Amino acid sequence: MRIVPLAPATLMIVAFFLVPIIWAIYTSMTNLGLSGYAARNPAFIGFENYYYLFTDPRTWAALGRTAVFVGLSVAGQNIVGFCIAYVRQMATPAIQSLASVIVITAWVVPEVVAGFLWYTFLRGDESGMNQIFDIFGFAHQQWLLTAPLAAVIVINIWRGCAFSMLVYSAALQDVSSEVLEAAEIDGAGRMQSIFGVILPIIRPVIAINVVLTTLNTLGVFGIIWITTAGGPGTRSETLPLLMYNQAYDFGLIGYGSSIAVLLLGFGVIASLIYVRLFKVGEARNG
Amino acid sequence: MANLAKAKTRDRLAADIALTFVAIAFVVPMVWMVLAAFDAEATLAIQLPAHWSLTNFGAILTEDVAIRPFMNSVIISAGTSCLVVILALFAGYPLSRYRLRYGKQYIYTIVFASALPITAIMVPIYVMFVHIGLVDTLAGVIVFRTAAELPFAVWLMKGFMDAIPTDLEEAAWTEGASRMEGVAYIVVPLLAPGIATIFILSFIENWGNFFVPFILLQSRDNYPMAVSLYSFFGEYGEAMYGQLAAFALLYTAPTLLVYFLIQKPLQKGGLRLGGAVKA
Repeated sequence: MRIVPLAPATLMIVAFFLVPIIWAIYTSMTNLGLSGYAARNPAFIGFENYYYLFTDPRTWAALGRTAVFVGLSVAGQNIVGFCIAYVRQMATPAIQSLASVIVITAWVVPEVVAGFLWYTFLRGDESGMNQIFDIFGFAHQQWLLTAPLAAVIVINIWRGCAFSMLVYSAALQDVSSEVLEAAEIDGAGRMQSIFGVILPIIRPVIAINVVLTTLNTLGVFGIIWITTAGGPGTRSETLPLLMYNQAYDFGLIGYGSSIAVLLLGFGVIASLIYVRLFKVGEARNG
Repeated sequence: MANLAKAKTRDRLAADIALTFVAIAFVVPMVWMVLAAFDAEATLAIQLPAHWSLTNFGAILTEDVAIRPFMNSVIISAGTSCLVVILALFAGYPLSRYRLRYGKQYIYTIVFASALPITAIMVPIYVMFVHIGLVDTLAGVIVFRTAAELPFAVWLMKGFMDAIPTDLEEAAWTEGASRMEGVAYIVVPLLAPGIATIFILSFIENWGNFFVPFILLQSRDNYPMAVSLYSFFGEYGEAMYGQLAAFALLYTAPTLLVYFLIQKPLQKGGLRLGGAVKA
């Protein structure tokens, strides 16, 4: 009786997490289509989709881009987020809050709006960025066309920094000032105090935040879809976009599901690491 | 000492300059939207409107363009957040108050689920919803969004409940109150700030979500703001920048309003780590 109130939430989670995951694995072994004959009469084809998936250069290209996108986004968000959090402590309160509000706004703005803002900012000769380049006398750039992957990474860092900043701000407050003063008396410079004292102390927070930002970046679809749509060609196509294109543009639901399973596999690994770190943190905090 | 004071002033100045630079870099891509929204002749360039006007807002505030999508967004976000809070309240209570045999494992499982990328299960969800007739319905979006938010919400709710001492409830039981009455008259009122936090977090998340309605909805009448902004952009993007900016601003405003209202309690509660707020 005591666990009855748990039932509705548990049922929802099972029905919409566990069942779809199993369904995805099953569907990935069929030739299910979005419409037409293959939509009504899907046939079981074993691992054929996976065979095509892993022999298609487009998959490997997308995997590589996903690694670059996730790696650089996570590094950028964590480094910039930490730096802002660190510098923020020393700044004048008014400037402190102004900068925080602006950085947080970039994070709270809906995904479609963020994508749309950057699209207008980067696109065309009269875009905001080229206006700024005019002031400094730089040549005009069309990064959405010439460096699409770099562009979406910058956009994603811009959008995600606030989260890391908030996390690291909280962590920095927990570093006792006595430890820092002791380091200063021992003659430690700024860099020594950051790398020798602060970072080791907040290492558990860094670990968990890196995993969390990785998980959040793995599924990013909207901002890429809106700014470059994975293009030009496939030059900024990451796994989620490849999945969408195969499943909906080409109508290959079965094949798209095999990409979903691959993406899910990475998610499961990262999520298991996350739970592991979560347990460690729980044990430490008692 | 004089040297130390000087060093502190120098640090502060350097920090101020660095933060100002950060602020400018982060705000520049947003400036255009605010200016263009009030400029009937807006282009892609960042420029002060020659004539400030509400023309763009007037043009989009019609039933078809912005009002229906706005209402759809409200229905999806409010509906989901209500369901999430109620279900999390039910689930959080036994997890917080009883020593359940698999309680710990349950928590680890939902923490695990809360971190999975939802993007990856949208294809099977779509196929499932076609089978059970939930595709292209607001109810379908609400049901799935609820499931997607639940693991994190249940975990948060348990945490908030753990912070409420059990003595008050026990005192009520000795006075003859039932468990349900204890929950309704003692736990829920004390839990109000936590419930509000979960509701608002879920609301913001759903208001901003694009992928789920983008996959599950097909008819224009069902589009929330996220999807209709996207399709408006695709159809008229090259011509009506001002209206587009106004639409985007209208869509963004509620999130900003709500977020900055609750920012203080959020920073105190949700973001202390291991708190796992979704980015």
